[in-house]
Amino acid sequence: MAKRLMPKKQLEGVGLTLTGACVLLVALVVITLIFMVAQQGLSAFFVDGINFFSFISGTSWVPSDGVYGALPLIVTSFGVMLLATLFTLPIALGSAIFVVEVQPGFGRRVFQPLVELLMGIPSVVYGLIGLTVVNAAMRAIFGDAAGTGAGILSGGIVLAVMILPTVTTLSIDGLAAVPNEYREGSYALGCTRWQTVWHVVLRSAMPSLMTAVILGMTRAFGEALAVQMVIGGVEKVMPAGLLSPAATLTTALTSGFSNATTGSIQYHALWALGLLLMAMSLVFILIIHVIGAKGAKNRD
Amino acid sequence: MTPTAGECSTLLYTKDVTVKYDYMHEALHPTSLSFDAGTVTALIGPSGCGKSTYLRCLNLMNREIPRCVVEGEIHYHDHDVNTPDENLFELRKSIGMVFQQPTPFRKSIRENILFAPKRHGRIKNRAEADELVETSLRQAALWDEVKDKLNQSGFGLSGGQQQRLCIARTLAMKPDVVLFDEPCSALDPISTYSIEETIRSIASTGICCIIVTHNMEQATRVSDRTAFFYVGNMVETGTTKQIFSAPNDQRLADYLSGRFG
Ligand SMILES: Nc1ncnc2c1ncn2[C@@H]1O[C@H](COP(=O)(O)OP(=O)(O)O)[C@@H](O)[C@H]1O
Ligand SMILES: [Mg+2]
Repeated sequence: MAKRLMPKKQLEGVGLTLTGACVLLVALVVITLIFMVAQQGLSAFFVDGINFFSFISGTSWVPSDGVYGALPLIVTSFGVMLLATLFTLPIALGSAIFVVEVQPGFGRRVFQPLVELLMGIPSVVYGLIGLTVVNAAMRAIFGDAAGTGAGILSGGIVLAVMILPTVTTLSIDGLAAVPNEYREGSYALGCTRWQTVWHVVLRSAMPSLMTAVILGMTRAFGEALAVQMVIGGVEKVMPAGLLSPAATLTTALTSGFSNATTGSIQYHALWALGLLLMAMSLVFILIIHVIGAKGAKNRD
Repeated sequence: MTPTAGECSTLLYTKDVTVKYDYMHEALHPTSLSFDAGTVTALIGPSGCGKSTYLRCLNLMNREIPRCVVEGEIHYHDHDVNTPDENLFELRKSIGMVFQQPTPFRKSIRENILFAPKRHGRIKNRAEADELVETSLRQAALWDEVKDKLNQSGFGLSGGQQQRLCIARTLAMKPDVVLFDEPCSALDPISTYSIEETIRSIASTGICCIIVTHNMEQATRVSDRTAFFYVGNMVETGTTKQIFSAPNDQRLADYLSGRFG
């Protein structure tokens, strides 16, 4: 063996310093990020004197008139997220069951790579397709009631397609991770394949399935570009129904920043929206952690 | 062996059963054995000799394995069940199976027991359910340890308790045959002892128990009859006493003296 470049002890020191520095850097970025968003967002309340309560519960968002009620944005954000989950969940679960329990050969070789391909498509492409296909379909189905076709329902559908690959792939992994012994244990009790899938496999995979769904929801909640293209995104009051155009927290942010001057009330109010988004994402992540910890505890 | 009429009743027997994996690899050559109600039969032999393969024929579990072919006759209550139109879900309600790895379901202890009876529509009311849970757990010698935590997850139990929960779950279906595939391999000696006791006691209620084991002391402790498997063949069978004290076959004698396996 060639002579060492450095004594072993010193080499270990270098490794420790390098990896430690990486950790420090990441931690620093995270902390700076949170600090910056919090500082800018909170100044809407503490410097500009917007009332926090009316910010959360106010029902109209017209920054040009100095009216900052974020409730319509919050409602729309949750609305499209829940719609997307509602559309995606049965399809993702159904195909995951097919891939793992019914046709593993076809599923693993053909279906899964196909789904993973969907994951790589940029969101602007989803937006474009949504704009031309989904909005047109809305007009065709609902006629005048749909207006231009842009609205909460269109946003939900486009988001559903966007999160489908993530939820499906994670569900497949979750089901595949259930040990075969559980299935045999159920067969040995005279249960049919369907009873086994429904009562044993899905039940065992529950924590990973929940994680899959919540990750999908987080993505749907935070997506801005594709939603903005299909949802209308100019409305300033509470949405009247699934077909009415609306704005989400994210679309209000992206469309608002172009005409907000740095340091103005409007500017800070937008940061406050960002803070709200971040806080909610944090809640999602926390839920995932709680589920993960509970799953680990139940395993043995 | 020729069971004398009236003395004991043959519940289950196989005639020239063979098993092929992947349509061609014959892992089990023609095997004929019979099993009586209320007895324990041990299947012994070096690992990979086809014990599990044979055991899994008896409740048609091998049908769950793709490209696996089971040929020959498997008579249960004097009726050949190895036919394409046999309802294997019905069959498995009365031929239970316990595996090497304890696999409680992600449910409470109570729901683990009631899972299969509920699926098969056997539970009419709460009182019936309570009674079934208690008798099954008592039969598996687990009742005293878990009676205060029936609604807790089965995952919270120790390995030995989990295995006894799996036995209780099987007994809740009121089977007349229970197959055990190395039920103690993953357990400590004390749990092993308690499972052996359980097997003896359920056999004394008239259930036919068949246990695969690579532990020869276990076979002598727990079984009435023993069958020795070697490279896909059932080489010798007889009373456990005879097999261990006066083996006829040279391979069995070598195996018992620890020369291989
Ligand atoms: N699912 C399977 N597919 C293919 N071959 C198998 C399968 N299960 C067992 N075998 C083969 O059959 C033979 C007997 O295995 P097994 O019955 O599990 O042995 P034992 O239980 O006595 O240790 C082994 O050679 C094993 O490799
Ligand atoms: Mg085996």
